[in-house]
Amino acid sequence: MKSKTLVKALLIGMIEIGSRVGAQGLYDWLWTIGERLAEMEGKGLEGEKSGDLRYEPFCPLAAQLETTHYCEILPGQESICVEIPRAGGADKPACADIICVVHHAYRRKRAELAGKECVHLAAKCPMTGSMAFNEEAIRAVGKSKKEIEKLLKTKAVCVFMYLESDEI
Amino acid sequence: MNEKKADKLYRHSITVIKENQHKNGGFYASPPGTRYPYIYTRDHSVITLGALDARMFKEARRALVFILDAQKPSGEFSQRYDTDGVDTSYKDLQIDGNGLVLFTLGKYYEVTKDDELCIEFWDVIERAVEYILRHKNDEIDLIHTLNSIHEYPAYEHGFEIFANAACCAGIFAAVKMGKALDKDVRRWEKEAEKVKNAIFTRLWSSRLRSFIKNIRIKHQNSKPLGYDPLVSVVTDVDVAEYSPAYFGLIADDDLRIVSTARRIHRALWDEELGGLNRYPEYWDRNNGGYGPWPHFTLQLARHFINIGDEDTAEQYIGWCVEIAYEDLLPEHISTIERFELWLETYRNANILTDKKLVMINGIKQHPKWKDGFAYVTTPLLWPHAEYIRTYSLWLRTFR
Repeated sequence: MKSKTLVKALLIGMIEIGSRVGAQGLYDWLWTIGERLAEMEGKGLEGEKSGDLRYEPFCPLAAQLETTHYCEILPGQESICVEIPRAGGADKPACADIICVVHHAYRRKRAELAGKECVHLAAKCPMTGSMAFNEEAIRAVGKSKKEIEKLLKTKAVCVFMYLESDEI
Repeated sequence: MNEKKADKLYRHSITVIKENQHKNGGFYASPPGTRYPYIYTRDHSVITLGALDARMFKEARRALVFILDAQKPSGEFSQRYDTDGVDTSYKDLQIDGNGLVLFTLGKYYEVTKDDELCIEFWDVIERAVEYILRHKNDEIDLIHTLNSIHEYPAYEHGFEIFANAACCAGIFAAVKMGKALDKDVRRWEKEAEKVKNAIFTRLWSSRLRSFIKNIRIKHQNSKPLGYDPLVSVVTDVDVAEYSPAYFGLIADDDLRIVSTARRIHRALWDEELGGLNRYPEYWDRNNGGYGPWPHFTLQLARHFINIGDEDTAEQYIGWCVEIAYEDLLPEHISTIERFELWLETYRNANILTDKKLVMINGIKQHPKWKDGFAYVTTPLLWPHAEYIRTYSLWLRTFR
């Protein structure tokens, strides 16, 4: 067995869950994983600061999962990584990739433990480079899509914001 | 050594530490507006040791309460926190932080006998020790880590000496506190003895007559270890090889430490700039340019004080006094040429991040740049804490 077998197992698991219980079931499963990981890790904040926005210059989860690489290994099924339910609501992830669900649930729960709320404003898919925006979240925090797009184009793969719990 | 300047630097170091303790108790690694305006577990612990040495007991207690409160549910102490004690790490596990917190708490307890604090946080102490022991490999009796003192996995992922010395000394400190509080700590003591013995055998080279840096192992639970994909041994000289004495596991006059320190001096004393480098230049990751670090120079200075070598001790301390700019100590210094070499390699490799650009700006704006020196991150609190500890020892020993 090679050292990345377990990582591949997670990706295959995602495909299997998706085909057995559907996209929403997969989404819920990944959300639970994110929250459980956050509870183990405890309170925490992440990202670089750009004014009151935060951003990730690279996606730590995508880097570990090597999504691009594994989608090449699993030909024909890579769409699972981008075909995701676009659940509406300011509290939902800006899903550019299925991994955004895990990451947002994780980041949001850790923020909650620190007495804050995390809103996910936008993300860039590591595989295709396409951008996804959470328009409701952007409106809720009073930001412009243009400002966020600029950040995504220059130095970010993921843009979010921490708010005090009573701010949203 | 200019003793007047040395004394002034001591007094100013205390001021720097006092001014950089947030009201919540955390010591900034470097002041707000500079490169490290966070509370790094490792730096915070050493700064607390400096505060203790300066008899700032109230400040030390507040610092300890801050860090003990910030422990993660798993028992780990993070790489760094914000001033509210919220984890803001961006690096993987650095288990020496657990050892350092316990070691520092133990030193505080030795001086103050503050039972109340230890009782209040006994569950935190327990979780911290158990976390370390969960990372111990029973085949070799050493603690596994991903990062250590240099936050450099390429040379530290595995069974690394600083992490092992810190964790071993940390567990011994917990054992002492536990005994004083009438707790059953026999298992911890037995485990710490095993780690200590493994440091003295597995991380010691009779041929090099030196402690060694690291046994590279990727997976903590690789069994047998010989089949691990990373398996190899780093025997290059690193200033961290002094850590068994730094953490009091072995006396400074023990021949193993005397010869280890001699090897460090021979290989890492910077002939051009003076002061001790942290590891060989070819390891790379010489942010801001390769050059000597005052806090490592001061750690080794204490070795020379402890063995009665006044001349070398003065050479080391005197260098720190000499490079302090307006009584402030940098993380490290370099030359313009070395700085440019580093910049070229990082630029060509396309690995210059925004943070590094901020650092570069700071280096070029420092008044010493015009004199031909790169001063990287000034002030850093860690060297000020080491200076307090070293200068006071020097006074007590030689004056």
